[in-house]
Amino acid sequence: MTPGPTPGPLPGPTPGLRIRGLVKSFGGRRVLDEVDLVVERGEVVSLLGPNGAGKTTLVSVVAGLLRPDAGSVSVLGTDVVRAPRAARGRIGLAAQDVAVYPTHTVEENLRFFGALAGLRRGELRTSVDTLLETLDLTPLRRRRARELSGGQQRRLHVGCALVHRPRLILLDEPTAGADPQTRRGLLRQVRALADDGGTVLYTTHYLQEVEELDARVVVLGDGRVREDAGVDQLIARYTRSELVLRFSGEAPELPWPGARVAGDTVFLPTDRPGVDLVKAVELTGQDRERLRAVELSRAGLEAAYLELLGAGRDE
Amino acid sequence: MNRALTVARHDLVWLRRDPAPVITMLLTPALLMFFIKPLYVGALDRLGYRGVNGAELAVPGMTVMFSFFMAGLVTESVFREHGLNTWARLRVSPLRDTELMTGKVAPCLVLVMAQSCVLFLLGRVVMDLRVRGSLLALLAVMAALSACVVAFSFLLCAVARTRRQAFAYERVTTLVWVILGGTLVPTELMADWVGSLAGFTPVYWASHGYREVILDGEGVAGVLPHVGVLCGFTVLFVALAVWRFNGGADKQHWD
Ligand SMILES: Nc1ncnc2c1ncn2[C@@H]1O[C@H](COP(=O)(O)OP(=O)(O)O)[C@@H](O)[C@H]1O
Ligand SMILES: [Mg+2]
Repeated sequence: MTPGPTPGPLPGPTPGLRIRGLVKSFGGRRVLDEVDLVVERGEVVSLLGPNGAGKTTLVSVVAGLLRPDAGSVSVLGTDVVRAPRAARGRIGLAAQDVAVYPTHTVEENLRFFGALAGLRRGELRTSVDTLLETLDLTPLRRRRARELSGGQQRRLHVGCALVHRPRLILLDEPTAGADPQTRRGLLRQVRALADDGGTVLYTTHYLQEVEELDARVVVLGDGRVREDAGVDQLIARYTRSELVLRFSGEAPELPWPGARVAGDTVFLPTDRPGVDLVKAVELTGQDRERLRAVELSRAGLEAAYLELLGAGRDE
Repeated sequence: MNRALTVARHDLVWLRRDPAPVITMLLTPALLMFFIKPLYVGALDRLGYRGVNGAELAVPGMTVMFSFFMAGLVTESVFREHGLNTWARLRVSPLRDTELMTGKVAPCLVLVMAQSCVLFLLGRVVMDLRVRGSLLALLAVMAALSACVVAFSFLLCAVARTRRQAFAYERVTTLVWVILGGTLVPTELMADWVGSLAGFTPVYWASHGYREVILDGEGVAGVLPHVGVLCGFTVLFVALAVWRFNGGADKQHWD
């Protein structure tokens, strides 16, 4: 999937999700320590963080399943700490653990949660059919959930969270254990929901997904928001791109800060690839005859993320 | 209440796809009734009833006992939701606690009534059970007992933290009630102290209500006290359950 131009968030009168000073402790240990986070309508935020960072706890508080010790959480303008039920029905939660009825068919699972949210007849049928189609479950609609593979179950699990067309969508590791095709379908769905004005908070450990979604990235660590930036900003902040020069035969040594040579290839760190490209080629001098290829190696989010976590640890 | 109906229908599909537990709840009491029936001839004789065959105590006795065992259907369906992680889903949906619990207990109410009807019919056809009083009075006791069972199952869901706890509470309570309440052995034939405790169990009022109709030929007026006390127990159980119920509690199916 090529990331198309990202439609910017549609700033409404109130954001889809606003969290202020959120604190949650388990047995005296602060899992969330003054977390602040705003997600606009139409925006996808990827919530990252190592295991135990508090991502699931955060999602559970937003869904009204856990009461925070302090702080405020407002969902589509409704304070869900004071009135945990007020936003019910407008939230779609696909929790970390799969939650479907193994004894019921794919269609029955979807219809059940749609009906609970108040969808009736034609409306329910349309929503279920659309979802079956987008999640690639149409051929399995009469299959019992028990008989589905892990990835198929997870798709159904996500479907159950979306069938009532919620406005705030919380997806806790929706792609865990899914095959590449499933993952792609789910990501497309996530993007479509946001383009439709939905607010999406989405946790994952697959950084490539986050790049594909071109989502805003929020990194949790030690109970706090450690980073909150776009993918490009994170990459720029924590990594450097490299110019890669390949030669026929042994690569020459070039007077460039941070240059590395490996066999027939030279790696030159750069912040301004366009300008530096010309400079680098000039520097090769008479070795230019042997220059086979020049490439730009763009550092990925993964490198940035690992660097970021490492930086946190050194503090 | 539309949503309660949705929940009830959803659970009925589950029960239909694995009917073994429900069938067991019919077969076991039917078998027990059959084998225990001859034992009651002597007991009935000592109580002063003539022209009886034992079914007069065996049929209602087993029916009452297994009605309470049906409470397991509700606790299972609730704790299963915790085990499947679907409880959290239900809590994020617009479903209210009252709708959820109504939807959970409603199928059980119908099933307990159906179970009683089937067992009495079986008693009539196979064991020559003769009811001397009014059928309407019999149905009144049946309905009150079913309501009581359902309220009891709701209470179990509210106080137990795991499925195994719910099961243990259900069996212990039911068996103690069945013994003290004179369902297995008529209270008149047990020690005096048992008789004085019997009235504190719902099982006693159900068993004696049935006795009034089957053996003493009573009509609806004759069982009003029994129906009334059973309704009282129902209200008490529901009140306790509502007081203790916490939908947000972290419950386990397996622990
Ligand atoms: N119900 C709970 N009781 C006690 N500790 C909990 C509970 N839920 C989560 N925790 C703890 O809180 C921390 C954060 O957990 P979690 O939010 O699941 O992290 P993540 O989803 O980021 O991996 C973990 O150390 C976990 O052990
Ligand atoms: Mg988690």
